[in-house]
Amino acid sequence: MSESGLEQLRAEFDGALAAAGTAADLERLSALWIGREGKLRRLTEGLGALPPEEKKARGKAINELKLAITAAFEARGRALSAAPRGPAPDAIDVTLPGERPRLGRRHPIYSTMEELRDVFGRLGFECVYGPEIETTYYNFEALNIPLDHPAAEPFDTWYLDEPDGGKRPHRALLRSHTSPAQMHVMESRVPPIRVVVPGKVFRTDPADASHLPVFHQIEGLYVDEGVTFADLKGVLSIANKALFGAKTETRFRPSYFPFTEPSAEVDVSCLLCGGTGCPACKGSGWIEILGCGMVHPRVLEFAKIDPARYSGFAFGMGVDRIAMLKLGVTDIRHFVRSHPLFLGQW
Amino acid sequence: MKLTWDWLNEYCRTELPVAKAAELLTRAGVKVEGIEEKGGETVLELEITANRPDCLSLLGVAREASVVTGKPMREPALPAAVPHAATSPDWTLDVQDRELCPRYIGRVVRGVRPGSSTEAVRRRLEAIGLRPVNAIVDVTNFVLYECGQPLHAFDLDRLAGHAVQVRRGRPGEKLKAIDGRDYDVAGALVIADAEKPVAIAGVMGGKDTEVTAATTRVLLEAAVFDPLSVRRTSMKLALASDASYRFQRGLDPARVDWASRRAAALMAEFGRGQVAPEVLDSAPGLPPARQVRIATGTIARVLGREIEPAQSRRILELLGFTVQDDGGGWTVTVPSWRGDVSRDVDIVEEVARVYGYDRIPDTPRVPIVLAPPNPFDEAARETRRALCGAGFGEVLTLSFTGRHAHEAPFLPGEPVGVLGKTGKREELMRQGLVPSLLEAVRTHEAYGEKGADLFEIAKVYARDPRGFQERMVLGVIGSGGFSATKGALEQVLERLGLAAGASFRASERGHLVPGRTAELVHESVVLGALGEVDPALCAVHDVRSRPVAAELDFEALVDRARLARRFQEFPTLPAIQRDIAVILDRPVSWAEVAGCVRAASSSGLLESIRFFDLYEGKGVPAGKKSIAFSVTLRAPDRTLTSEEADREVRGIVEALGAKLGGILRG
Repeated sequence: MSESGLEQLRAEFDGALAAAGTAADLERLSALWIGREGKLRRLTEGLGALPPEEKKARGKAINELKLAITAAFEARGRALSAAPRGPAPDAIDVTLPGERPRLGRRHPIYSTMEELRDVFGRLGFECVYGPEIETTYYNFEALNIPLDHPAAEPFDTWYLDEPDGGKRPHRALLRSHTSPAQMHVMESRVPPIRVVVPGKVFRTDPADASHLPVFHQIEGLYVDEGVTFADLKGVLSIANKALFGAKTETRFRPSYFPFTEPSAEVDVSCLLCGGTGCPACKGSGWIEILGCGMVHPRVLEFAKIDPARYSGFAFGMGVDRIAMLKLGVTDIRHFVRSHPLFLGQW
Repeated sequence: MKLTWDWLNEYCRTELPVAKAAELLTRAGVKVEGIEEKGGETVLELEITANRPDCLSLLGVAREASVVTGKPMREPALPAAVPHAATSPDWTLDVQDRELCPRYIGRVVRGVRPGSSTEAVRRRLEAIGLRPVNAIVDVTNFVLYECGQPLHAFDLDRLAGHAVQVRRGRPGEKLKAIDGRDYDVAGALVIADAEKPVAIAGVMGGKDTEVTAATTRVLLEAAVFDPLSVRRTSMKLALASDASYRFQRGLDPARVDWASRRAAALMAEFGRGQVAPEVLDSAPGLPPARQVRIATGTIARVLGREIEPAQSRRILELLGFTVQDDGGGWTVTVPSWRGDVSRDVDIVEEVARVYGYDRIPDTPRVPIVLAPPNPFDEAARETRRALCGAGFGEVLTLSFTGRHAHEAPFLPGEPVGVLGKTGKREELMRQGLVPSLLEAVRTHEAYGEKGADLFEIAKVYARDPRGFQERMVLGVIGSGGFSATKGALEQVLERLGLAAGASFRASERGHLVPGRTAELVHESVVLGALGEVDPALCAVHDVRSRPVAAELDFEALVDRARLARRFQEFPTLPAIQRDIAVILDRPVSWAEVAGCVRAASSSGLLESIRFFDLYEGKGVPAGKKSIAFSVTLRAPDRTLTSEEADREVRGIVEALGAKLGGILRG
């Protein structure tokens, strides 16, 4: 009998053993397998006729099978002979709910911010922070945003009440975007610079379903020799896959920001429908996610970085908006209302 | 900006379905936000960025459409120029402020009968959201939308002295505008007749001189006004119009004369009038065209993709630029309508957006670098984990706290006020996190949540003699009493590697209950405080419970944190644990007891002390308390004997008696 013959025998035995439900069954089975005329005994017949090498190997295999079958018999015998067990006197209702230790939940905005930061961290962007109280210089002028121009209009800015009435050349304000931090980083470091800056930003928008006077952005900046628009496209396409899923498509549309040139708005394929069109993307298949562009040479000049030698790209995205899209939150005000039924969901 | 599809196709027959054309325009940066059917017209809503005032017109959009579709653009033909009359006109033009009004063209249309416009014109204007008025006014709007140049029509015979002056408004001068409201125009650039202002330059005309059914002679204004001046006036008067929107973005100087002729011709046609050969032009001629140099290779250097020079050149020429090879680069002449193009990178963008951003590769060639972790992020992550694990939930609250701002300040100094659009102080920035956290607790209570344990890491703000200050603070609020909240803070300190050097001592804060308040000291620097919130402050915030709040200077925690861990050998010989309960005077603190116990053990056998019970009441005399604790004793080199442990405990009890008056309890 071959090796596979032994395996087959084992399988046959296992099947028979499993079917043996009583002590009497077991006894019959024992006679059939282990007894004097049993199948195991018969295996050794003819063994003596084999050449010594083969005989040794075969003998070992048969012996192992015997041991295994005998052990299985004994175990089954013990199981069948044991007294049937009723429930313990102190039986419990196992369907009662467990006592859960109370766990605090992370706030979805702060954890989305962490997620964004980590994705860019994996791409080599160091996380740095900038002040929330800024000046007109850093918030506007150094970013090539003429203060007295419609280009500054989207930045509905909160100015601070200054003791001298704000008569100094640069007035104090709450930053209306995270881009001023770009300038601080460029002023304090030499290229290569590769950073992200997450943080709070402030605008005079009245609160509604998609606006809050305080919200969050993450800003990215990469300045080095030879940085190109293709690098920008590549980095953001990769980041979008990390953020929104490996199948995410990224689309770049020309746009305008005073501090980048060329500038682009970036859409990703709709998170809900994947690009076929649905109410969330107004049927377009695309969702606008961020603004970006090549750092305007004028901005580099403000930071005393030579635009003939260095180039860079910058991008900025709304953390709240991304959290809303990813988590399906329909009203931005939920984030700041501290409602227990909202906070308990994350 | 809105426009109708049919109207657009008059200037560029795209021969495409509207959705396809919209897609092509959007991909080139002229964003079509929506397409809707309205009153039998297909209306496109465009979002035009601030740098492209040329696209605030049908002709501007048609030019873009022509470039992206490859179909020719067709400008409306102007009637042949009418020769100037030999006789001088019976009205005068006097531009007094040539800086704010570089050019003013007045043109007269005689014999008009300003009835209604044709149905076709009315329908178009209505479709884009304009209200038809009469044939004359409608023409000014029609041409404004057609070419982007704002126009105004005066009833010439209602201008006192038949005079037109362009000057600053004088003190006390007012004007009733077409919207029926009175505006104080002192200092603003105005159009005036011999007596009074008749229009706010570039913003809105006056009611008294507007064209009515009775008008027979129209003075048509086409002018260039300084963008900043129009902007300031519009903002100061809180009055915006299609005209002011365009003027402040900068207009095509070459369109002024064109628009004047075009409108006059249409007025003659629709208003059944006659174009009089009476034109006064304050400054005929055009400013010189701008030239921009772009060195060979710039496009590839910026984009990371080579574009055939012939193709780049073709794109630029289609857009109206002229390109001259100057050896080593191009000298590009910018068309009059593209005031936004002034540097080589602007040229790169023009080429790239028409070439197609999607055709630029997205394969980054960025070197691999290791971004160093930010210490703040690492400490914040540990803190959040510790607090969430301890059952505290993270909240996000607004940085403004209005009336509550200067209660419970954490940062010393004056509160920071923020100014609204009116320049008045509208809000205060929070100076501490406690009021925000109390608001969050109130919300939890209002929704029946018992036990709001919350925290936030966020900034607080103040102003001191050095200037504005901001500081990142960890705020914690707990419902489980002082020791539960303190315990959570201790966990945080432990996770940040700061437990060893940290201690709490009795202290006071204005917003916390005296006697139930402590401050955290780390290596002799105070990092914050913890205590039961003053019931009065709770009442202000409608908080019914008595939460315990803590605020720590998170930036100091980050600076001090020691997050790296190293394995420490731990003892393997058995220890002996003994419980001790002593009766002490009530004011004696645990810190004193622990200090006394440590000092009493000179043998080096005392490994640790653990508090486990505080008791007052039956069996303990009034004014006294019972403190129970256990000590763990261990010898580093041998198994400690029971006798040694007894001796050690006797020494501890004696010291407690001698130094603190403690009596061993039962």
